[in-house]
Amino acid sequence: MRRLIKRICGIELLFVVLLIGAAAASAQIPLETFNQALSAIPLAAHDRILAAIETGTSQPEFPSDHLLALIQRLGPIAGPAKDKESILLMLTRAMERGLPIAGLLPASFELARALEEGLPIEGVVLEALKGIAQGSPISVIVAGITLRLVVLWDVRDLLFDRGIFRAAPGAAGSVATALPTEKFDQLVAQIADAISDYLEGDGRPYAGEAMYTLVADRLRNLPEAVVRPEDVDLVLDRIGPPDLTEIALNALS
Amino acid sequence: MRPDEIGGILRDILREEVASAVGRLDGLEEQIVLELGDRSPRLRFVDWVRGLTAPTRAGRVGQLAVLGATAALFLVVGVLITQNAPLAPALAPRLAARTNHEVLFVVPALDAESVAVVGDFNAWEAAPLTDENQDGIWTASIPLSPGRYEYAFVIDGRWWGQDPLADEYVRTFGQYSSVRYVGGGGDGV
Repeated sequence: MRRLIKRICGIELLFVVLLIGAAAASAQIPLETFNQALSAIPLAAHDRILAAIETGTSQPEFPSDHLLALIQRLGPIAGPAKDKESILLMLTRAMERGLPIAGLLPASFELARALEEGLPIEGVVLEALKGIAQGSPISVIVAGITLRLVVLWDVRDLLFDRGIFRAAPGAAGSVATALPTEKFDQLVAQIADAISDYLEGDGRPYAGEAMYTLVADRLRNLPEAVVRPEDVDLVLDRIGPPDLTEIALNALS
Repeated sequence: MRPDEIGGILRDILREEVASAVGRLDGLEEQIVLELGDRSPRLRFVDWVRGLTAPTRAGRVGQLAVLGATAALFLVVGVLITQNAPLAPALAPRLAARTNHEVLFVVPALDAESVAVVGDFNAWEAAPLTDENQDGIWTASIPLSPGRYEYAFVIDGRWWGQDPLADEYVRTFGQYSSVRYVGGGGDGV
């Protein structure tokens, strides 16, 4: 028994030593390392982001290593630089407001993964920025990001399933259902945003008809410069209320 | 001196003057004819064009060939200018900017110290409204490209998301935001 207690104490001691070591190591990440990692991304707000990190690293329990890992993960992603910057700006805004970003980092990695997969994440990040501006708790903002990302994935998969694709560069127009990348992404983002707004506004997931009407109104109100009427007709013709109910249930599950 | 003597003297003087000037009048007629024939450069250009398009031995086909060659020359020069001159890229942003709409944000806030608009067009960072004549009506004009925009006012630090001028409203994170459709069917602009 005594031997067992000793062994447990030894393991605990080792664990504590490792924790302290990890904390010390993370605290020792110099600002220049962050600066170099940020330099791999074309950023308009480089200085602002770095300043927020500098402030953050001076605080205890700041997740320096995870933040650095995120920046290093974002660097080589082929997605638009403005989307990478928007993820970092979301964290910057939270740091500037003195919010703990540890909770936001896993969601940020999820955003990076979505960006890597070519999803139009701009609306999701903007919604998180709205939550920060409203002073919402980090847990609520993270829940919003998670829900919106699930809906975004599902809406894109739904369009793929219905034979509506993003055309390869230079091949737009060769097939009626292969839309230019920008138009396809707008449709996915707007449909997903409408469904997510509905769900976050306490809408019932089983009310497929209501969601379909909401989506249709949203798409038809958008100016032609954003989505083309023929693309809107194509999408509304190929999706239906049961599809939206399925997406809503999946997002809430 | 008698008048007839004076007349005689004057006639003699005039005769001498004319005799001395005769040499200078030589060739005057030819000079006038030449100057009348030397028309202005513009008229000469018109004459040149007329000459090009005038009936030739080759007839109408020849005229068309001359006109076609001229048009092709202008086309080639035009294409070269468009491709090489820095004017085209410089114009592009200005043309794009023309598609922007000046969207007016108005909010009555009689006793407010500060009013700002936040929205997805400015990544939810405050853009101040002004009340220059101190009548309690705060305004800001923001250029926006066509699209759907969510926004709210922040009046003395408090969120105010139900603008009567909005096209619709959304409620997320437990608070309302206003929506305007710019450049489309809504009343956003």
